[in-house]
Amino acid sequence: MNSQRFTWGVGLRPGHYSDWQTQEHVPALEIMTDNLIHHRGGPALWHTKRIVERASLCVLHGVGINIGGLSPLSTKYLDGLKHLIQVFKPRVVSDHLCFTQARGIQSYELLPLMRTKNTIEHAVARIDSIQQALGVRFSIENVSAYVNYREDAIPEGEFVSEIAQRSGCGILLDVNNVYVSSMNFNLNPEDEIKRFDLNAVTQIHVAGHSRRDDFLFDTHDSVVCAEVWELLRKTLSSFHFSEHGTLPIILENDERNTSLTTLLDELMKGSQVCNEDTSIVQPPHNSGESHV
Amino acid sequence: MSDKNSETTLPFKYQWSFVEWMTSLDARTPAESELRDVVTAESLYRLETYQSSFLSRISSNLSETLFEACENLFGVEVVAKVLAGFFKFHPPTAESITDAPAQLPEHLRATAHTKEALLFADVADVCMRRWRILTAADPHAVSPTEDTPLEAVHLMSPSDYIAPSGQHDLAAAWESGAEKPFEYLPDSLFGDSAGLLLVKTSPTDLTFVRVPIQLNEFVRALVAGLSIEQAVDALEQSASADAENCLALLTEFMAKMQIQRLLTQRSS
Repeated sequence: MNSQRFTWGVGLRPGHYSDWQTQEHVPALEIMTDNLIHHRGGPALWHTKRIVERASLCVLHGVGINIGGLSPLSTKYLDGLKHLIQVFKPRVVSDHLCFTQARGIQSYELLPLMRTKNTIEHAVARIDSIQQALGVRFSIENVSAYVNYREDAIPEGEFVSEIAQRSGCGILLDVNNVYVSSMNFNLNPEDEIKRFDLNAVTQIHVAGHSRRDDFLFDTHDSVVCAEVWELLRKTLSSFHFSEHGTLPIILENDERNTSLTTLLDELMKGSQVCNEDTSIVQPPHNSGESHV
Repeated sequence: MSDKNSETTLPFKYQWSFVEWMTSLDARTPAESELRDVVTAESLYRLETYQSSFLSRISSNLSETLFEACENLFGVEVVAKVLAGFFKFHPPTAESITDAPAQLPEHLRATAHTKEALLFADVADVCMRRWRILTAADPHAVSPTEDTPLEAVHLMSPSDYIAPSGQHDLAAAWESGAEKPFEYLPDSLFGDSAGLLLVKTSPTDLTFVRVPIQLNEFVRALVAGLSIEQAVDALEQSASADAENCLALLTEFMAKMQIQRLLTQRSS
């Protein structure tokens, strides 16, 4: 497998700021848009700027743009995101295909959309507005779901892909989310991955999940299970690269007690499962536990 | 596509019910009944996951950002309980989670019946002031050098004030500058001082500086909008009999604020 096709990295978390300062090699980093978008200065911006300038590349990933909602897109949020794009020059700018608020009340959650033709029309129009406002190609991520709707008419992969195709946006393919949703609704995750238009994929996510009663929950607080790594390996083997350049693969972990060493070890393990070059993800020298 | 029209069409009309039910933190609202009509029977029992996730996400975020001091003082469970009580009556509207509890101190002062709750209000207020200053634009001149003109040094302008309530003859400046006195913060926090200045001393640091009570006039000048340098000028020019004493105190005070260098510059 050609190692130049993928660039491996992790999500940048506040608990790891000091560890990254002493890390010799910094891989691809994902900046959480919402951790910085409301800041005009301070530690988070200060550290992020200094760490990201040493990274192989960075991507911006948000949770608050509310692509599928009805409330008008927030000019303040879009202006803030545009500013972050100018500062960090990310390879990919993304958020989730979901809704997060209604009538001005924020849920701060990634709530599932009803997958219908009307929803596609609505999302395409919103993404057009977002891309015009930002002046860059935007990418949308498939979310984990725990409930589905009686009126869901389109499989998720086809739903996401049609929106991407019609709006010209990219897809942030979250392999763990596909796995979680598939398990929750008795679907085959490999079949579900095949429903996505891989030519539109601009970035990949992989993460851990946990079990609650008889269903899976996307918690980002545990190691990636073998099944998800295997699903990623099979997915990567399906990519046919022509003009993509390198595709960022980001390991997400929001557990605040996970050390950077542990995180990079897991990234290396995952890249080995996928038969990838791991030279960029060596753990830091003399790095102890995370200084949270 | 207007909100009102879209809310009447099928792919969207459940959205408000979903958010209303989640943020109400009560499973027995009419919104939940509406959700039951659109969610498949097989997955209906998982709806609660979203509601519990709403509170845990907010609590976790605020724990890492705003409310570390509250958690240290009151414990994680108390903080989570207070937040749940607050958001039940004040569903969040702020884009940033850290702005979501902006009304929490006022809410507690208006509704709480225990001293502990009122202390929580005061501490939460200080925590939010701290966060607001910390994430505000950074000072222009982070490390002034010998060549840095004084007027270019904005770093040392204090960013906020925390005034105790009642136990001191506070400068009127506190009254005009502080939104509310901090009635329930313990005296030990203030000691023999007029209050605390919050100063952003670098992009990553925020310092709490105790203000000697004799420097009330100086602080009044700061609250009136003068820079520290200007306030020093005003003190030097004052005909007050205590001016010399005040200046001596000020020298000590400003040394704590790491601006001894500026005083040296002034005298050279």
